Amino acid sequence: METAMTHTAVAQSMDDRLQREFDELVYRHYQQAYNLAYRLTGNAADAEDLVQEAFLRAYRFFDRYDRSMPFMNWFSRILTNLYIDEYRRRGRLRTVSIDEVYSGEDGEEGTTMDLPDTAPNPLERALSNEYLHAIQEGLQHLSPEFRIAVILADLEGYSYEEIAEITKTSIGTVRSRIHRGRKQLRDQIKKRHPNLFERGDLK
Amino acid sequence: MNCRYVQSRLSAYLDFELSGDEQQLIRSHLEACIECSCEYESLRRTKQLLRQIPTVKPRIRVLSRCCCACVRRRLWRRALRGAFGGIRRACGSMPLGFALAAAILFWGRAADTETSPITTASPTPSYFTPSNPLSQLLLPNSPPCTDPTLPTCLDALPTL
Repeated sequence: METAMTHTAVAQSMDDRLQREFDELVYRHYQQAYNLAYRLTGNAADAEDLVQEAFLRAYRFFDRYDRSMPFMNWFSRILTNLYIDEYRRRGRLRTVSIDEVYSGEDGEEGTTMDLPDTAPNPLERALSNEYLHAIQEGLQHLSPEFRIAVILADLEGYSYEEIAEITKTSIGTVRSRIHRGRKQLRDQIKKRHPNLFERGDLK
Repeated sequence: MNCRYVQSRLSAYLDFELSGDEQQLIRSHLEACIECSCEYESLRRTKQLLRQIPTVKPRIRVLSRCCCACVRRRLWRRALRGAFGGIRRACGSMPLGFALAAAILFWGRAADTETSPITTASPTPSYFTPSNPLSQLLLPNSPPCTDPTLPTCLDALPTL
């Protein structure tokens, strides 16, 4: 009986340690995680659901997390897997235009969707909202596998090797997904904003 | 080295993901071939555009939603473990204990997806310490949060 109680106590103190570690990881990474989710789903409501679901899953499997891997790499795998599952389940995720009137679930009807501060420094103002919108829409047109590869490479800055680890594919697959994804994206953006690719813009 | 081969590797070249030799070969091909260098420029521009996409900041409720989901699960598990320990000590029979554990675990999993507030009284969890940044959000004696977007599940936490 005594051993059973010590066992419970030990398990509890270990849980506490893991929980504290996990809490700190959530606190440190939730913004980056949200950004990834937002770029994948293209709208705030789905991004919030996805990020919450991913953290809950990460919490459930936290004892299997291999500390030799950076947390965000492991977490990105969970998040992108969840995203693909959800994408297949729903057929195609609804995408909400950022200009559309947003009727939030808590009755904030009639307000336009609150766009997060998208221009933290003046340099980034170079891309107008119209262009940003075109790029995000172009991303939304890619298949989920291509989108994930392109976003992980160009927005999150992962190496091909890391992307292969996150998506559990070979480097060759990653290379071809990024290449084809970028080409499709280029064609999409070019269709709407050919001026973004004019010679004068290139340098 | 033909154009098709070069064009299939332009993205990898752009990302410096080729071997040194291959990187060199493609560079010299690009200097000589206008078609490939146009293709390269447009891909470079695409990557440049993507890199300029700014990061979005989540609304404050995102953090509390993520925490709430985990805290809810945590409290359930703790309560269930307590109950399981008591039952095991009381009955001492292994098969019965396992059956109960399976039932309780299944119940716990199902409870995770529920949104109903928790009514379980739980011992003071030790992660509510001032050193834990998240406890700032969750400690009851921290200044009351006036953000109306905070989910109501915070109210469902047991009083400490």
